Amino acid sequence: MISPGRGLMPTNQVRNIGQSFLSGSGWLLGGIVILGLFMASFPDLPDRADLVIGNGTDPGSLHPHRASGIPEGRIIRALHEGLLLLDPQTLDPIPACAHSWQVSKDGKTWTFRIQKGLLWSNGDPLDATDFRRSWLDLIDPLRGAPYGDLLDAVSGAREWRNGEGTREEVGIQTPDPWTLVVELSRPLPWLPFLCTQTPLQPVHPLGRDGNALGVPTNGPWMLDRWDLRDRIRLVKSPNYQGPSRVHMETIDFLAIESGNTLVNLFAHGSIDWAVGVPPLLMPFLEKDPFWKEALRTDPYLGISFYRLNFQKPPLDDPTIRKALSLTLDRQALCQEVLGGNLQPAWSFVPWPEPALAAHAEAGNLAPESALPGYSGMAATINSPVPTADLTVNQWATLGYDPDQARKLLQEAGWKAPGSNTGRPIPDFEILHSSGSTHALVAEWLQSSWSRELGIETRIRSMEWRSFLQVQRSLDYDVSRSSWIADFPDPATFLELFTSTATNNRTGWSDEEYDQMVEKARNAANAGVRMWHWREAERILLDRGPVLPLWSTTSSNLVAPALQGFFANPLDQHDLRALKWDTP
Amino acid sequence: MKPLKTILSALFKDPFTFVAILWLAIVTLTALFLPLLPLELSHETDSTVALNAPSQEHWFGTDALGRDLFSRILRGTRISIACGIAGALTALILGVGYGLISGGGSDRRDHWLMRFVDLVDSIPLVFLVILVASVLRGSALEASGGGLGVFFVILGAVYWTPMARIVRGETRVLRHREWALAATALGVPQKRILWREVLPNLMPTIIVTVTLIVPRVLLFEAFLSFLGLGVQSPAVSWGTLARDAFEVLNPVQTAWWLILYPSLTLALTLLALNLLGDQLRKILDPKQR
Amino acid sequence: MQLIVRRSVASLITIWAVFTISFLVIRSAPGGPFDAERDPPEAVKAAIEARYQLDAPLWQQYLDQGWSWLTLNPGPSLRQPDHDVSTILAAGIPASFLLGTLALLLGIILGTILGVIAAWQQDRWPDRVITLFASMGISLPLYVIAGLLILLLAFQLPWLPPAGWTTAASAILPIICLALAPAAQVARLLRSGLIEASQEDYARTARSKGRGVVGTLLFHCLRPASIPVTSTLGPTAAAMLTGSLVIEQIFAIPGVGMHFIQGAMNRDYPLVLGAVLLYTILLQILTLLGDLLMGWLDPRARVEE
Repeated sequence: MISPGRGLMPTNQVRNIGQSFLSGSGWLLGGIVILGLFMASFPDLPDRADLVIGNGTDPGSLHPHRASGIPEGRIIRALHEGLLLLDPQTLDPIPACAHSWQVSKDGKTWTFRIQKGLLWSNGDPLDATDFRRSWLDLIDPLRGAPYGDLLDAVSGAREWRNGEGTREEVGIQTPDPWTLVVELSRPLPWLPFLCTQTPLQPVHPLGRDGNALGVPTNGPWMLDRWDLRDRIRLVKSPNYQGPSRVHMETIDFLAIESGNTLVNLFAHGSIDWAVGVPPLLMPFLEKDPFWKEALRTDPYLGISFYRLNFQKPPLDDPTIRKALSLTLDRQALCQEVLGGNLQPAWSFVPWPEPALAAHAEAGNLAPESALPGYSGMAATINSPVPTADLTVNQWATLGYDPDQARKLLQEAGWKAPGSNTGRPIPDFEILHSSGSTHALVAEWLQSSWSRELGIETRIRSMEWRSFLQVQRSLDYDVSRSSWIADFPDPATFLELFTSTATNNRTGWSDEEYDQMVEKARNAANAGVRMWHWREAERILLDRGPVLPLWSTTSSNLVAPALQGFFANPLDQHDLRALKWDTP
Repeated sequence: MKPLKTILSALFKDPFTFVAILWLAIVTLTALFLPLLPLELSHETDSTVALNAPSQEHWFGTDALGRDLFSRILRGTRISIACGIAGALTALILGVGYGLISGGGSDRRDHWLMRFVDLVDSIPLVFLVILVASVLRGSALEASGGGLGVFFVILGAVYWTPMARIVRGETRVLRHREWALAATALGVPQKRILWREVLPNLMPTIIVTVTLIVPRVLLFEAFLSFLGLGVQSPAVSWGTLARDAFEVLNPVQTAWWLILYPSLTLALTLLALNLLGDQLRKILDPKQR
Repeated sequence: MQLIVRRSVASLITIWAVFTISFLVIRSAPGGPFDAERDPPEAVKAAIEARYQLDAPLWQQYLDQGWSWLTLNPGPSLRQPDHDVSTILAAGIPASFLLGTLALLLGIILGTILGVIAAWQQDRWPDRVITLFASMGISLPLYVIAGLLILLLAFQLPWLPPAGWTTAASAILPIICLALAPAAQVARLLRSGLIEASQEDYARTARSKGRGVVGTLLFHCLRPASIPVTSTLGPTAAAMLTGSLVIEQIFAIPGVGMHFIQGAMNRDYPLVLGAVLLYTILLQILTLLGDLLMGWLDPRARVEE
């Protein structure tokens, strides 16, 4: 350590004192200046918005074609309005930009009649050509919209994306400015639903370069400010001509990463709706009557499952796969390990009906807002498509039977616990992306398989992007996965595992399965389609590469005075319907 | 350097330091001999006993998944102590080696080697560690059994520069002492002087620095745990326990035992280490306080 | 003058080296910015990557990136394509700067006060309490302290908002939390420095001339004792980045810190490089300032240079 200056004389000291004091007050002065400077630099927000939403991460993009996340969707649906909207309570498609629509008998030609006098937020007129341009841009392979494949069924779209066709050959036409005709190569019963979702919402010509800032929108609100990583404020659009009467003048979306912070801000009253509650906090919140009322956990159209890699022994063996599945007691996983009100999944396609029934039995709100079976989405106001009369009881399911699993193994010549004969089962690795819940599930798998089958496994946890890379390059044995419905039809789940699907990621390819999916896709009759899907599910569960574990749950904290927030399995809550309960 | 006995008796004279040493001994011995202790360490989840307050059965209560907190803290002790020691050792080897080479060489070499340390210090190491940790997490290296080892080394690599600076500074001072100059004049090779004469004289400084690096490594591990980049479940560390404690803090109702016990364990250990470090510095190097 | 030129050149080389290392590290991380659970088809992904020239050879991307930063036109972020990287970073600077500066200032003031009291009351109970506080400040993870302070000051005694960055009141809690570590550091160093200085000849002289103990400490010992404190301020300021990452997340503060983590996790290459460059440049400036301050406090340091 440096020893202090011995040579300084006391007289010098006095001067130094003065200096150091001067410098001390200099610091202080500087501090006050900094303070004053920056007190002025806090965002000058006029008032608290009518509705403040804690929205999770800061959105990636507000462009309907570029956005892919759930927080983005929430904002974009408020900024834009598609041809149709979802009824906030029943999720039936209802008129929005289109006042009516019809479908041909074979289900391959849809005609939408667009409301006259619609305007963009800057006053520009909006008509069918805007929709045609936007949809073609969405399909355009060079623009690279991640959800462009939603419209693969439009005639000519697939060819164009594969480089064999052109933009003009795609079957989207506007015979007059108020009519949009969509020609399909196969029936797409969920097209009305897709019309309500963000990728199919119209984009102003100014937004064609992919930018969303400063681009007019056509929804009831428009973008007022975007303070990065802080807040996005929407204000009512003066030019909105649509059917909705909205109640909120201003809406704030706060970018808040931490679940604990969300809960704190909700407790403080700074936000009215917090999206996503940390599962760890749920047991605490449920004990308190106020929080119990505010906490909404609802079944969600998503599935948590594990992929099995068909290229890695021993997972290439059908008996092993079956045995692995038979030894998993999903009921116990949901009740004893994970807690909360998760629903065990015994099939790959999650069925919200039983989940919602159980949900209602537990004393929750609005069981009537369940999707009326998947094919219910095909029902439209002007041209009803018959609802499939298939119920969950007729759907293929897996079972829990460890004895059966051991018996199967023994019969196939594997060494099961309790016997000395047979080939030993090679050990393998359980891969999950980092996260405490994922780790717990991996440990549960490990202990289940070791206990029931004597199979030793290793657990490996990876950071998200590396994990995706490994999963895509089939460099794993079994790996954690999840899938969320793009639209409410089994297709969104079952198309995942055809031989040619982009996101198969298991190495599984089964001709019979592919054919069944193809049949279901092309079936004009909803009932027939559902029976094909049932068959595809049966094949998938019997031979396939998946271990479904539970169907996901959404969780929200909603101020009890906020009306119009209905439980639904898509976790889409239209802001147009929200209003404050005024006594 | 003073004889060990003097140092020890000086350490034990201060009651606080004595308690600190006692605590550190308990913690380290627990970490070392955990598998031999007659304790049943379950880490099974059991929702029937979720969030139970401390009781006869669960001394420190249970967490939200019904896991026994006492077992978890003990299991965490093992990993955290390993983290601290491995991290400090990495810093020690890298820092002392580098410092000796730099301080013991020519002025020119010293200059450039120190510029390199400056460079390393200007990289936001936090960011590099995050990146490297995410690259290594689940990489072939980790899967092949390097596992926690890689993580420990990363922790140590963060703290080698201060060690290198200190060692280098001291080396340069010692090299210009009369005995070192005399030895050089007599033709004793530089390496030998550094290794046999300078290094032993550096020991007090090194020991003190290591004692003070361990708590920083532990805190950094806790920081990485907060970001989800720390030790991965099923392994437990004090850092993950502290993060769990933070995650159950809520304005409605708080499970105090989940916060108190892990925090107390961590804080006591860090306090003890800091105290011991300060005390050692006082004893070994009376110039400083 | 020559010194400043030499330092600047050294700084530029450092910045370039840091840029290169960071580029190599981030590009060697597996996975890309456009990977998702729901991957778009290969062709679409290739189209997206081509838009950002991610299909070019790595050396060319390196040169492009370097050039774009030299011309201060780094282009859009990969995760938030609606915004330029420079806009994103600039948006975070006010909050980060305010938070960091005020916390450091508060830390120094608090640390100085505590250090002086501790040195004055050496080995009596105020000293013990302060020493214990100073050790506690660096013995618990910041997020546990912050979580407890929020419970206490925002809910038990509802004085302050629990998070956000909208009013001056909302800045108080995060600043206090972030100031704890530097305060503890300054208090510890200053205490030992003051005690040492108070045994020097000039301090004795001052006391013998009738200055009180406190007066001697404040007017005669503070300046020499603050030299070791000053020499650690640069590293302390740099280390506050770690703390600010935690604080920004817990208090939902729109600063720069989170870009280090999220940029890295999202493989948002230009954003990560921008954040690292910003940090490096800041650190170079801080180090220079620290050295100048040192020279002013301790004239001999100037002579040595």
